[in-house]
Amino acid sequence: MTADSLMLCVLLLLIALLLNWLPLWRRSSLWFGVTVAPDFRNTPDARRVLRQYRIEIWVVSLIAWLLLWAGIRWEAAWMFAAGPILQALGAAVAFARGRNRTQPHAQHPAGARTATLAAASEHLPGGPVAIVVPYVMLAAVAIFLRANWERLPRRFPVHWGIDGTADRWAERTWSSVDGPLLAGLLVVALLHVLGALIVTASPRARMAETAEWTARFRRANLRMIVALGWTLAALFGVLALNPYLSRGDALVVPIWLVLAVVLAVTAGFIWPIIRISQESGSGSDGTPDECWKFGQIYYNPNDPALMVEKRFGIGYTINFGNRASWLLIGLLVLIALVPLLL
Amino acid sequence: MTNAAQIRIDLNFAAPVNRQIVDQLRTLLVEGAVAPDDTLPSVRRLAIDLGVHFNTVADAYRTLAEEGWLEISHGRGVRVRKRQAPRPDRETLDETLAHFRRRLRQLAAEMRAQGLSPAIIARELASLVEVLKS
Repeated sequence: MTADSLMLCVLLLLIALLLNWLPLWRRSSLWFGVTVAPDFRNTPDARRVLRQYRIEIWVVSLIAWLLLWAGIRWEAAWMFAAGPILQALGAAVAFARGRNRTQPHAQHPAGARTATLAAASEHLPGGPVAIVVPYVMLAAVAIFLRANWERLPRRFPVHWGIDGTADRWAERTWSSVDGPLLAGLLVVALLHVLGALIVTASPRARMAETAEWTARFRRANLRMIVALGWTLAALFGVLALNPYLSRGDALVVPIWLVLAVVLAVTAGFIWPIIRISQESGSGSDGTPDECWKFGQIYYNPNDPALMVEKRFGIGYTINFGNRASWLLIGLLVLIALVPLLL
Repeated sequence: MTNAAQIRIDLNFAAPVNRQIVDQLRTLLVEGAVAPDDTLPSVRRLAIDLGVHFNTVADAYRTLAEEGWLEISHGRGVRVRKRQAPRPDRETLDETLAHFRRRLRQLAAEMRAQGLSPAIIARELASLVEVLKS
């Protein structure tokens, strides 16, 4: 078994564990994307829905592992790829089935909604300094590399396997040297765009009694976005410096350390969000149940919000009924295509 | 502006949402919960918070601006104006008073139809008088 396939097996296990707990990280009046009574989660019906969902998640994850194993055993690439795809599709189906089982217990929310009259004063945590720092880091590395251009090797590795062995090289050109910085710039900018959209284009609270909870939830999400911006800028900066710092083909910072840092920062900032999500009294999110397709895709042309809280998962999702959502998706596709265009 | 100043709408009410916003905001303005020079959320912000169309909020703000309560300027948001109470002539005053009595009677009848006793209605009216006096 290669390091890549071992990594994929571990990844499938981690995703299965995540999916096992994910339905519990939501507002207290939501169960499998359905608006229910706040104490419904403690009823036998709710536990039965959760149990059946978990059985389906682990069965589908087991099949995904078997496919992965078969793909390795018989060197069949399609089986290798089918495992993760099956797990993702299986999770979506299991959640949708859980939603259907919860529907009979739905409490159709009243049409009441509230909004504070305080003018918008929310910003990304840390203010302008916290936003600028990642760009300054990337720019500083770019200037340093330009100043030391002649000291960079004429040919250097640009891709490594999970075990840290270089498997792709490039000549010293502006795109190969500055490529990681450009990728970092796009990722950080995308994070900041998402943060700005949460601040400006998602509802602050549509239920007066949940306003305080919603404010803390939003703040925790925005903190994670700012922290990830810093972390990713630092990692892309170190990656760009690798040809200068490294002797030979090795990575200056081992790949496991890169993954560990990203995971640690993400987990450190997701943990408060999970804790907030599990508090009682968080009510519902003020979006109509019928606008959630399969419990996960929000499509409501009558809602001017571009971003809304997820009902399955952590953070925010797009309102696909808002025309601006297609611009955002276009931007995401464009960013994904940039490495191919370079 | 008091921290508790909020707009509450109900999509299931017979009254249109823009009417509900106008009525509540006017009440807050009259009672002083929202004071002159306060800044209100932009049309876009309030529409997103309430989950209603931008035009609904824009209509409500426009109505209150026409009544002299708000000043809407592009780029600077919505500001509460210091409004001088109008001084109607005798004929207009009589018309307004008649309209007020009619609406008050209709509202009292509606509340009685929904089960509120005359004593409760009288108590609420008395407490409203106290608020207006203060």
